[in-house]
Amino acid sequence: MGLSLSERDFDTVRRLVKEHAAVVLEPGKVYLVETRLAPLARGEGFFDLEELVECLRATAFGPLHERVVDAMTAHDTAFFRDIHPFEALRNSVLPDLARRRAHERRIRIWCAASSSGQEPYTVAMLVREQLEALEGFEIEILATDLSEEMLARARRGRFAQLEVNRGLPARFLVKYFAKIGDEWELREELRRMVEFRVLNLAKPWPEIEPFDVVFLRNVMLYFDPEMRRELLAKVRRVLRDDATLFLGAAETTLHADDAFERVALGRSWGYRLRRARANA
Amino acid sequence: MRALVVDPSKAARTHLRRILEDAGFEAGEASEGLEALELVRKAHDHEPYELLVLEWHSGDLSGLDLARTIRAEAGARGPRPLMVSHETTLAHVRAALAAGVDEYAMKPFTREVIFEKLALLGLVVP
Repeated sequence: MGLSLSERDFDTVRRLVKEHAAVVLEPGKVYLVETRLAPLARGEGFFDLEELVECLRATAFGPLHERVVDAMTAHDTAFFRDIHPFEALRNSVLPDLARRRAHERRIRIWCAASSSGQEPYTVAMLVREQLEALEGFEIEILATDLSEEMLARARRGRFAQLEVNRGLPARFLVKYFAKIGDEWELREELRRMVEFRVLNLAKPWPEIEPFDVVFLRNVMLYFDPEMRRELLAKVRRVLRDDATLFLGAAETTLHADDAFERVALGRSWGYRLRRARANA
Repeated sequence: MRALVVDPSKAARTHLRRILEDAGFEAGEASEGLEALELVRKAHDHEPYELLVLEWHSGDLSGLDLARTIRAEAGARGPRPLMVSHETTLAHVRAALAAGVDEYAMKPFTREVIFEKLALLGLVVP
């Protein structure tokens, strides 16, 4: 196998990923393409990565292209990633919603790039921990991802040892998981709390009922400024007036959308629509 | 912040110590439980450890008994016990928590695993 991907091959992958997942691969990311796609090339029976990329160019968009997009856009993920947003959810956002939605008794939460499921299941565990405060509430947790393969994995709710080692408090492990062979399976009542659906954030969205909480973490990081603006504009349309948006630790709505304002939630930051404050 | 790594394997101790040092700890090592208990007792009054990284199997005094003893002697003012062990059954994790261990990581571990456990303990900022 060649040591380094040619510029033309890199460009083929770069355009594919941008077009179908709105993910921007910077010029220096050749190594990322190589490390992510070399195993795929082998698995798909190609002689090397170059041959795989040649096949991408030579054929119309199909399952192989999808697998390449999946492999290039899978993110590092962990239970309770960065902790603070989930502490904020537990300590202020959920208790606050329990009061505000006391009559509706319904709360909708969306994890917009759910990957292998750790984030929505973290939310499910935290909701489950507050059963008393949320008694009689209908809590809907929607998890979406652009990869069918990831969604299928997430739906199974089975995790490798290294995955439950990451970020998951041991007391939640013993409470909510069973060990099956080498894997750890989330209990069914928790799995049932999350609905997994395919959604490409970069494409037009179907009609979606507004949410009270949205996790859109470590997505915009990979988008260019124009795509960030478009994405945030779409997110705005699916937020209730007083909804809370959580972004990744290195992300912000600043310079992308001034309809949002940043609010301190414990040791985390959330984003709310400005008009919500005028009504508060 | 001071930490003590208790593990019979030198390789495991070195690996853990380096990660803890990168997380801002001054980390010491002990290969056996009784040696660790002595170090913790000695340090208690002047330079107490904030963190105790334990392996279930640590020779003369198991990590589990060490955690239990230190909890009984020092309570909440003692070091926070974090088990990092080859034992990976639910029963082991449950028993460790019951003995007063604050967090549990299963071997093999990565650097992220340890950092995320320290963040759960509030000892580093994620």
